[in-house]
This record gives sequence, C-alpha cells and structure tokens, in this order.
Amino acid sequence: MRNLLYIAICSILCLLGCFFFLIQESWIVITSPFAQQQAQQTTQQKNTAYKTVTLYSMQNNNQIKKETTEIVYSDNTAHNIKLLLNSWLLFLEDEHIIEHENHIISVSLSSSKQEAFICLNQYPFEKSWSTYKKMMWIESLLKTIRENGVSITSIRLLVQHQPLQDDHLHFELSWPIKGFIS
Amino acid sequence: MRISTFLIFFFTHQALMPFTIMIDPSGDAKHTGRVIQDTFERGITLQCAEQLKKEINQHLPNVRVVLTRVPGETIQPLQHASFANRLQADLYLSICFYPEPELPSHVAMFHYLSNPTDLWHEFAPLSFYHITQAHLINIKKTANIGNTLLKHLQTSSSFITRGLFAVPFKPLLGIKAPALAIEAGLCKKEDWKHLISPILTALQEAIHA
Repeated sequence: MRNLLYIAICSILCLLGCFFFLIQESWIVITSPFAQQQAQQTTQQKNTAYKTVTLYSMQNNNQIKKETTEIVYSDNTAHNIKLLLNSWLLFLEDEHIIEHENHIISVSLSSSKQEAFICLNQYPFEKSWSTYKKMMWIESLLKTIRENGVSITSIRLLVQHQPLQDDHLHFELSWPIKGFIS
Repeated sequence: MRISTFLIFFFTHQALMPFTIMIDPSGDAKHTGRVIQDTFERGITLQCAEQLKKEINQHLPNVRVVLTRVPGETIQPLQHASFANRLQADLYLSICFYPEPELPSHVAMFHYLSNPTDLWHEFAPLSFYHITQAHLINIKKTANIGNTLLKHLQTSSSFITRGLFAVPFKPLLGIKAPALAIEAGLCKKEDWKHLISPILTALQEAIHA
C-alpha cells in the first residue's frame, strides 16, 4: 500500500516537472486573456491615431509625384517609419517604378534615436537600373521620411539584416536624411 | 646657390612629370555588369576605355594613360584605389554604361561624397586621412574638373546630361586623386563612341587649366 503511494507521488511530481519544463521552454504559453485585452485597449487609446502622410516619388526627368494617404501613427517612431515606408513602397509599385514586391521587415532606432536601421525583405533595385535611378529611389525615400516630420537625422538600409550591397552606391554608410541632391 | 639649383631641379622635374590619367572600365572577370543588347557592360566599358586611351595618346602628349584592368582580370575591393594612390594618378575616370531602351540617351556624372558637409572641407596637408576620407584631399579640384567635363558633354548631340552628382559612389571610394565617374545610357551598344570626342576635349581643357 505504501509502495503504491510512493509511486503515485513520484508520478505526480514527474508530471509536474514535465509541465514546468514545457512552460520554461515556451512549449506551453499561459496568458491571461483579461490582462492582454486591457493592455491593448490602453495602448490603442493612448498612442494611436490616423495621420495623413504624403508619399513622394522622384522621377527620372526631375518630376516629383506625390500621393497622400492615411496611416496609423503612434508614439513609436520605428513603427511609424515602417508603416510609412511600406505605404511608400506600395505607391512605387502602383507607379510601376518597382516591379517586384518589396516590403520593410523591421525598423530599429539607434540608442540616440537619431539613426534608423531600415531592413528590407530583398534587394530593392532592378539589375539594369542606372545609378541615377537608384539615387532617385533613395532620395524619394529620404524625402518621404523628411517631409512627414519623422525626427531622425540619418538612415541605414539593410537587406535581411545585412548591409545593402550595391555595385554603385555605398550603403554601408549612414545616409543623411537631408539627402544629397536637395 | 645650392637652394636655387635644387628649386630649378625640382620645378623642372615637376614640369616634365607626365600627367597620369587612370581609366577604370566598370566590371571585371567576375562582375559582368548590366546587360546591354546582347553583351555585358564590362565588355563595352573596356572597349570605350581602350579607345579613349588611344585617342588621348594621339592627341595629348605628356599624358600617361593607365587602364585599371585587362580582360579576364578579377578586381578585389579597393584594389583600384590602392593602385591609383600608389601610382599618384592626377585624374581617375570611371566609365559605366547601362541599357537605355528609348532615345534620347542620358549621361550622368558622379564624384564621391560621404556627407554633404564634405564640400566645406579644407585640405590640411599634415593631417591623417582615413581611406573613407581620401576624396576630401582633392574635393574642390574634383568638382572643377567634373564641371568642365559636364560642360563638354552638354555639347554632345547624342546624349542629354543629367548633371554632376556628389554621392557615395562606391567605385570611387578611397581615391586621393580627383575621381569622377561617367555613367551613360546606351540604346545601341556602339553608342559609346559619341562620348569619346567630348571627353577628350574636356580632358585637354582640364589638363591645361
């Protein structure tokens, strides 16, 4: 009888150990649905609002095309840049400036909050593009960030979290938000 | 007496030193560049560079022309810069082409700048310059030669000039000498021939200035 009791206690403890191990390894995630709902509501109420932004596309013949759109803005600058640039990339696609589908994976800010590390999903230029066309692309991006009042001073472009490698333009450098041809 | 002899020798030597132009045809054995009609950019740039060298040798005495590569050679990063700096080139010219399906063709010029404030830089002879700042040594001279070249390219009826742009143009990184890049759009792969004459005239003016 006593042996059975020991076996039962050991089994229960073993099951408990497995359970805690699974929680520790994040195989089982326990969250309180009430706490999450509350947090979401507070964030939405406090920080988010619709904002009208202007997207710019500088064309080959020095023309500037504009489009205004609304995006959800919050007090998170990195998230705002991500949303803004994803809208801008969609605008470029609509204008047939870029053929393949590009999007921003993530945006991080430096510790000083002055430099943004913008990570793209793939190399954004066509192989046949001239340096001038690439320059117009990056100047359009900088103008879009600048004109929409995002408070950063420079950007760095990455592809899949590695510096963007191009044969002509040097993207290992930080590009000033004022651009080179303004 | 000794000082005056030294000065005469020094200035005579300086005057007799040939003006060295280094021409960099874009691409190498590994990097084919862009596709123009049925050929690669690297082949057309090499043809153009060789023709330009021939014309300069014919028309500009006391000018030495060096090409950065020969067919089949693979170039390491910053190899051109190292080559140009060791050779103490007086001018570095990079030539690039891209396909331009419709006429008119365009030509743009670039020189290296890592930040717009670089243009305010004043050369400090006894300062250490890092390789990423090498362009600062001759920044004003580069802009002057670039404007001369641009002025002559504007006379070409075959190309429309876009301008001279100061941007972080990677192939010119680390070069001490005035370094410029010409990038022209080609509708047909032989169109580069229209560039030779204005470049030659501009070089004549730049060398004698």
